[in-house]
Amino acid sequence: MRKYWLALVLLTVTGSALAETTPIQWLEKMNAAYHQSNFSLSIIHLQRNHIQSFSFEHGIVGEDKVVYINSLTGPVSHSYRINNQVTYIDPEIKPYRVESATIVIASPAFFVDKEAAVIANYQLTLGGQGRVAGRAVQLLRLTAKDEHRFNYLLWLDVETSLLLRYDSYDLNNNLIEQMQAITFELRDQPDEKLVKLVNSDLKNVVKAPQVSTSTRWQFNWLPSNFSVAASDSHRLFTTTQPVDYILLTDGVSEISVYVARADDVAFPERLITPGGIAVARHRESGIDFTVVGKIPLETAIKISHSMVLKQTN
Amino acid sequence: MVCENKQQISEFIDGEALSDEMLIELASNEQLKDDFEHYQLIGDILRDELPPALNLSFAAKVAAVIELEPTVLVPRTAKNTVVISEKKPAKVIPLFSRLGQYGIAASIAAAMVIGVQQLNIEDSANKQPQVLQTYPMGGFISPVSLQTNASLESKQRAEQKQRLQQRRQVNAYLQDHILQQRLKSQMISTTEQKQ
Repeated sequence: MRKYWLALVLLTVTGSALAETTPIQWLEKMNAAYHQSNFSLSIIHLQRNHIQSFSFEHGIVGEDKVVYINSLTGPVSHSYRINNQVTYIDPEIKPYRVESATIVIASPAFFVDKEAAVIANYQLTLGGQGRVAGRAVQLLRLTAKDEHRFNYLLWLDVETSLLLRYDSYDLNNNLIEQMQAITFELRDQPDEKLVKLVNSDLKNVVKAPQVSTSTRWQFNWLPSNFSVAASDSHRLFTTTQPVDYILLTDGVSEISVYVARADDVAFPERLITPGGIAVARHRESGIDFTVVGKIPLETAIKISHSMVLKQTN
Repeated sequence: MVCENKQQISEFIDGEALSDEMLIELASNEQLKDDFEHYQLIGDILRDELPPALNLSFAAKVAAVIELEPTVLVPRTAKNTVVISEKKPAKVIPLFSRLGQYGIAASIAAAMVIGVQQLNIEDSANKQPQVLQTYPMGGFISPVSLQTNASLESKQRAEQKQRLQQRRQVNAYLQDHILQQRLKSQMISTTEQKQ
């Protein structure tokens, strides 16, 4: 066993010595490039049997960092970010604004500023080179350190280090989702759209409320590095069912945990969507604990069984 | 002539046989049809057998539908009249209207059954059990078709309804999951920085 480790260490050391850039350096370069560049992409986002396409613009307009994402297929929906203000405009919902540094959608920004979480949860290895969106790319493998999260393959543009493609795979190596750039354009100046956006920023949008992390529930078990990011009580959007809500994250994946009074009609206890979202429901003394997230189903089930009320002294 | 006809219809309602000629006349003559209905109505009122919701204009709408299918419906109604003439007059049906009403109801029921069957076949043929079907739009996970143990026999409406409700529930959770990820994304990045 010790020999094996030695060999592995030797291999990685020599491997990284030979390669010009280490995986971590690649991630750092990607961050820097993302924050500094003006670029446009068209993206496809593939989820098992469903494809969506988006246009993605990133630019620096004066002092402002601006992102604009627009769906190209299906219902018209856009989102944009000006510095730390993200606005979502979807059909049939009032536009709403959230204070955040990221737009939550599959995009080249998916791993930006996440290197600490990536290093904590994944083994990083460099793969070969390939071509995406007509450009030379470097493959970077993120292999989960345990069986509680999915693996990723990242393809970074050799010239700019920007993320042009990522795939995620479940524990059986089935593709769950893929984000891939189809066209890529690096610009000297930000796209005109972004300049217009900054000047005509929507004023009349709903602002999302502030959230806390205190909750009356606690977990007897959580997968390593997952912790409570936020919690509140709210009603589900369509069924108006009141729930206690807890958001867990390891910095890369997010898990939603719901506590609700058990309903007469109950959906199956174990589900996986084609998009790789696991839904596990556990019923105990008239309460449904529901765990939803892009994580292995077994992990979701385990979390749903691990919840208890906090002991009040 | 009209008076004579009316008399014949009245007798017909009371159980007398009606000549074929007269039946055809009755089927085609608007005035006679009205008379027939009115007589029936009077009879119903006398016997205190009025339906709870009386819709007089319905017959006219149904007549229009029936006109499209004269070959099928007219002979049948003729048979009915034979039955009526065999002294079973108590609960007489307004000749064309109510029959049409059943016809429409039946065809709607048939359409529903076909629709449900197709739904089931499509569901079970394309998808594995216990796998959830989503069609995300614009970042939202939207309609879901949920597979519980989908056997082909589970066509009963109750189960359909329950399944729909299950879909709605799962959808609600999935949509909320996406929404909460957005609403609380700032907290996610701060959590990440702590690590």
